[in-house]
Amino acid sequence: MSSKSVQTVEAVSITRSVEIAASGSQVWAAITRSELIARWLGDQCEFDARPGGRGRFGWTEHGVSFPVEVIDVNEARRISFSWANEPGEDLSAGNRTTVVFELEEIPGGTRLTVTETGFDLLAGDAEYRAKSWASNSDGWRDELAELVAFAPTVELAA
Amino acid sequence: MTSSAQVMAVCAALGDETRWQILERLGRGDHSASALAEMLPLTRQAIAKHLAALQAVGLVESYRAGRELRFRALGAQLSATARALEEIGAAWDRRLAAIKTVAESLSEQD
Repeated sequence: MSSKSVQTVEAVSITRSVEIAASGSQVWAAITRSELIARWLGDQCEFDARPGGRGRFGWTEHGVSFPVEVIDVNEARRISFSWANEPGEDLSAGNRTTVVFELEEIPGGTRLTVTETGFDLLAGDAEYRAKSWASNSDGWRDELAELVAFAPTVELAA
Repeated sequence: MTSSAQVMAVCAALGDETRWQILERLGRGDHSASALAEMLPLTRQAIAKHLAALQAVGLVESYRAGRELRFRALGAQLSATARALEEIGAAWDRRLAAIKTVAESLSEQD
């Protein structure tokens, strides 16, 4: 990476998407119904697709489960929830990230996009970070560039 | 999950303006806690506390240089964190592929 400076810096996020040959309501079912979630995340799931709905994702084999709390629901369009990074009961700030699923109708099916945020590495004083980035002309700048690549709002000037 | 927790730990350590400043200084050269205290508007004790936090997540390491304990920034942990983020993304790719299989196997009335 040959980045030299950063104008804006925000939280790190991860985005992935997939095109599915199924209707929006079928995709919606796959991501909101407990028995269907358990087929793609862990093997035991309690999920309550309503704002404030609490539940858990469980891995029986490992004897662990991760608490989840639904934040916002827009039926068949968008759902967001927080889930813990460490198994147990704790879903407090610092031990959770936020996942957003968005559905979009496309010819022949549905595009499903997932975004996970909350890796607040670079949140904070963006201006200061930008300056320190620019001034850090050696050392671990390249390694930091690898990391900053995950922050979608970061603009890297050549 | 483990990689996610690791990312959170590194992010928490880096999420502090003062620790960021310390790391930035160490990125340009190795220094002792006392030397850092002269460069930054902080007491040596405060510097030591922040260095311990950075050391705990592997962002800095210390070594002896004569009678001095010096600290150096470790790029490796930043690279490791970037890899961990890659892994988290790869895990979502696998989950999305599985969601696709589930959704495409459902009949419309399911």
